Amino acid sequence: MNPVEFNLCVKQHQNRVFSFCAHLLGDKELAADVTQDVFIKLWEHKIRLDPDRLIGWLLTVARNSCIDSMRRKKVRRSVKETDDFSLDSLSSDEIGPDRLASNEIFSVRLKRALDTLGEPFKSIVVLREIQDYKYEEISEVLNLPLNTVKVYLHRARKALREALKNELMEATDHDFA
Amino acid sequence: MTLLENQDHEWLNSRIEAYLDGDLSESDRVRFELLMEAEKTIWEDVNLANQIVATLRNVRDEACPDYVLAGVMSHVRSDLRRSAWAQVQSFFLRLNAAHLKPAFAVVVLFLMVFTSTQIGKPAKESPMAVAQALDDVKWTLAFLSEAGRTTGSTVKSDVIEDQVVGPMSRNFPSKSEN
Repeated sequence: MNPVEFNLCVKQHQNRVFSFCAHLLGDKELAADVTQDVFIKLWEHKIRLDPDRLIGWLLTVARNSCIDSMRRKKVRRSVKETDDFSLDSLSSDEIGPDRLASNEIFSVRLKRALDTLGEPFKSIVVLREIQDYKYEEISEVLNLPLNTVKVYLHRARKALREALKNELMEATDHDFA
Repeated sequence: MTLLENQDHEWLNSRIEAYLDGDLSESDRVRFELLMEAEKTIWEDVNLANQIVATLRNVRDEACPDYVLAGVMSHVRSDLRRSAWAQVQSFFLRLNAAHLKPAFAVVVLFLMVFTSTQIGKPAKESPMAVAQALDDVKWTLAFLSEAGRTTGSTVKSDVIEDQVVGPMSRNFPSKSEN
């Protein structure tokens, strides 16, 4: 891959990789660093990949780098840090102000619930529900059997529901108190 | 109070995801929807699950900061410079390799022999250069001739006329005077 082709490749995939990292890490600055490292690895390995499989390779490397990064820096995600992606990036098209406010509260709670998920559940939810990948693609990125991906996604959704129900119950208790 | 048997409740709970994904068979889907109507908590769970999926699908991809691309391309450029320099170095290292030393020695020997055959050998004459040299000689001789002629006439008028011809005329008068 020559530098011109590589430049186009980075431009094409950087947003996807960056978003994935931002969701996993809950920290945009760290996500940008990891994204940069991922593309540098792609250049240094001089890998000739089928364009259809390139994004899968990038996401696999990005996920491993995110896990390393979390281990290294022991990221403690505060509410403030975790809120930024969900509030900034939630589509607000054709939603009224009241609905938007309640959606924002819900998305904050949902993001908090998402952060309670461990790996690979969180990656599966991000890839499937946010980035809209097929089960086969997720299975390839995470190197897991297809059925395991489906089972894990169901467990992750259930865990999200439980976490959100707990949040809602706590919020209701707080309001009454 | 739930209106369902425990086994129905478990059956429903374990099939919420399959129902949402549309993976239930037609008969299971009908059964699920009938039971869901009778069980408020399951209905709420399905609603919440739908809301979760809808909210997550509304999250858009973030724009990657510009400095990421700039940083990556800066690394690529420096890597290319490094590899070009490494290629030059490896070329010279290969040149210095043991199997190239004899070839290098033969080249040096050939150059020495060639140089020694050229020492003392007259330069090749070009017709233009010869014509130019002859022209230069002619002009030089003409200049010398002119210089000699001028010097001779000056000596004759300044020295010989006054110092030699004059006194001789005076000492030896001509026959006509006699």
